[in-house]
Amino acid sequence: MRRWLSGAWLVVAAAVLCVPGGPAAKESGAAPDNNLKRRIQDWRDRQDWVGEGSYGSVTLDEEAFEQIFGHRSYSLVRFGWGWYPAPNLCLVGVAGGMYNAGHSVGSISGKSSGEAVELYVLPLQWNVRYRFAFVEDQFMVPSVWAGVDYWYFQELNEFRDNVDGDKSGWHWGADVAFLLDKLDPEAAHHMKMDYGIDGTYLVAGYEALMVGEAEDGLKFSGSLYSIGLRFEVAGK
Amino acid sequence: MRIFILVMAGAALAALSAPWGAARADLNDYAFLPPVLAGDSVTDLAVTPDNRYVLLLDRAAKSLRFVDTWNFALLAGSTAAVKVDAGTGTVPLCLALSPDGQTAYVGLASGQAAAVDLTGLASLLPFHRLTAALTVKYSDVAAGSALDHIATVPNVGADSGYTYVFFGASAQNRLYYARFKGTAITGTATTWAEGGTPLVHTPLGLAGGYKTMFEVYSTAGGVYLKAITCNDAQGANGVCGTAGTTPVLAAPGQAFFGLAADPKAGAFAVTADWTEGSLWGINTTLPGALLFGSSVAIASQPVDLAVLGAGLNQNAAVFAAGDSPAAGTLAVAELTGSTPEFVNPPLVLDAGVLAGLTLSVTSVAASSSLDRYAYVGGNYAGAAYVAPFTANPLIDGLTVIEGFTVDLGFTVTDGYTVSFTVFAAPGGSNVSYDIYKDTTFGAWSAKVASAASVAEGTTVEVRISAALLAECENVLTVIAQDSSSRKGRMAILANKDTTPPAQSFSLDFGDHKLLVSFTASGLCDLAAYEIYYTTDPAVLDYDTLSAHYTPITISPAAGDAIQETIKGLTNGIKYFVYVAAIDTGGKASLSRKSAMPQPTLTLTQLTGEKGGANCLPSLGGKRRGDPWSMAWFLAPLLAVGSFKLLRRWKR
Repeated sequence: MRRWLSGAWLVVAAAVLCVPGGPAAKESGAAPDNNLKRRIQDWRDRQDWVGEGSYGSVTLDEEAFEQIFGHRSYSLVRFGWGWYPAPNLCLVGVAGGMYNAGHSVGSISGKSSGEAVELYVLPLQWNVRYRFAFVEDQFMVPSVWAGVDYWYFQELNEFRDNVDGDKSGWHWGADVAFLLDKLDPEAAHHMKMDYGIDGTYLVAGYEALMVGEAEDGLKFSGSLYSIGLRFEVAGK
Repeated sequence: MRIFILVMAGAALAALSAPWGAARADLNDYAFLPPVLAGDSVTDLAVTPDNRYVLLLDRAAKSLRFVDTWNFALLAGSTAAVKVDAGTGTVPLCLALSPDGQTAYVGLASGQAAAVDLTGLASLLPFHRLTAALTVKYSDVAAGSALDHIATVPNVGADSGYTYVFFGASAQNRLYYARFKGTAITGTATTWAEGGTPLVHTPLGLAGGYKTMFEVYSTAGGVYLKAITCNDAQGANGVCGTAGTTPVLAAPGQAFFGLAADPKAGAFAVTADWTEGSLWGINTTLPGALLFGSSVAIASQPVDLAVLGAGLNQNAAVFAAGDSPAAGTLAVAELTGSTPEFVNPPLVLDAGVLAGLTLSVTSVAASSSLDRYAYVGGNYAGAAYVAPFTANPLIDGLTVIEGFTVDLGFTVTDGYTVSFTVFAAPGGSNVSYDIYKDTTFGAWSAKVASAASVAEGTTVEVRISAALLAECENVLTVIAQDSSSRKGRMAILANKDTTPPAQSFSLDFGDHKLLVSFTASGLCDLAAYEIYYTTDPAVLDYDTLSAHYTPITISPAAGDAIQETIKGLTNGIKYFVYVAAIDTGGKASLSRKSAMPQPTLTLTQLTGEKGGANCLPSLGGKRRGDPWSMAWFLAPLLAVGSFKLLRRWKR
């Protein structure tokens, strides 16, 4: 029951975020449909968006990872999409993927066995990010953020049943973005004309992960260093 | 010791330097080598331009076979006889090769042409079997016309890879041609026409010369010789045109038959008078005015002709196989000059009685001037034979045995003894030789032994270190060169069989199991791998294992990744696992490793993870899956977002 109520609450919140023109349209009275469409169009045109992709190396604290896979640092590829509800304040959703293959360990010897273990991980993250951009076309833009995590994992075992599940947690991070448009104005012009992208950034970041700490079992806590590209789309 | 059959006749010719290096050969230097058994019957022969293979066309069996002149043996393998049979009425009648030797063309009685792709032969070492079938493609040339004459010629300009194939249909009185790219015909076949109408004539012989095709034919007006060239640049599929025509002044009773030319030389062609038993030389250097030179009587009625340019010193050797009126003969005549003229009396050999075989001679073919071999094909007692005929040295009695004896009487087994006897023609009595391993035909590299000079007729023994040979089969080629720079060849297989190297492998443990993994070696004589396991550490040799334990046997291909799981083992006990590599000779090598089966722990087991998805996060020590904790966490975020949204909306 409580889970159902929580879900309903989320749906209501999403409706508030996504259909802000609804109440206003009812107030206008004369041509509600046209007025609603225009308001939605105007609202959409005023928004700032951001898309990004990155490659990262995540180092996990959990010792078991090293026992199974022989190391604790893993490649993580992520893609994100964000929206600026206010200047410099961005709400970002991120999805990524990670894969590793190793072997189970012997309960007597503690050494790696011949039984293969594969791990697929799908991390989902939601952030609130603040960027320190105060002048137009600022070359170096630092950002900080914090958010929540939902990591789905699946362990494939060669000689026994597979195990899957999820972990939740939170994270914080910081990065520095360098505006590439300054280096190649002609390419920046093409990006604007062809794709509507107002700014392209090279981004290097750090992130601290606390995932699964509140639960028993597997933990994906650790640190993440990443490098990637960020594309900013400015509203009118 | 086998006897080198020297059949000599005629006067000795003056020793003149040949255009092909210093090699010289006189008529009386030529002799037959032992004939090669080559299938059931032979009706036509052709030699590949690289001089390696002699192709045998068997009309009765409708097949094409190959004699490898590297080791003078019939090519073996289930696919070595190429069936040339497109159905009823497709009897193969004649055979020719493309100028590059990559394709064989066969004229069929059905009016079709069969094109056989020979590219699979090039990389084959002697003694090796042809495993992949050579492909045959059939094309329509002239439906219902029996194509009983054939010749090929390349483009008159730069080599384009196209071959123009001419087909003569003597019963239908027509000449056809088509352009081929390998086995594929381009466009359609064309009937030879002059003045816009097909030329009605009876082809008597076709021959492909140096970029020129020659035809001797008869019409109501007499006998003619025609020269034809083909040009890729004209027409979508190339066009062939007459380069010259000359009448042949045939006397009553004369019946010209056959035509031969040297594909490497354009100065002459040769035809024969079947009735009279004579050869006629033709000067082909004057387009439009082909001139006959002299003729020479050969005292037999020829059934086939071949030309070996510069086969007799600087002069051409003309070979005529005859089988009428008596036993088979081979006439060899020397053609010289641009007229051209036959010089010296021809040599007429009794090829019909050869090494005790009464051959019914059917065909003759010749190699290039560099190789200096001619081949006579004939049938005897239901079998076909090909007899090489050459002035090159003969390497006889070639054998190879493992081991050799050193001076103090010890036998060294780590090596091989190659022995043979070299016979040379009278003109080149001193012989040097080289021995090569797994080389390329004609290139003769990778030398493993040599000797400067030995007396002709001497049996030599050559020691070759085992280290120079590879495991399994090694093709050893002996090239003997006489003092006249003539080279003979023969090849033999040397088999090296050593104990296979120990197979490295990985051994991993599991729960009640051991896992063996390795990559199968590329050992040429690998028969199988055997995997044994035991808890007894005292077992150290293969004989004990094979006698008392049952192996897991694997017969993989080279490079296969092997993964075997030995199940049902007791956890906590040390097992010894052996991998034995066994070769086809029964020799075995052994490698051993040990491991202990035991329970294993996965990542989730190590961390105590039970799994299960809850889809909602938990925070701050709250119970996993508590929805209110998520709502609490998200509330500030949503509040800020809503506030900002509302403010913007009001603006």
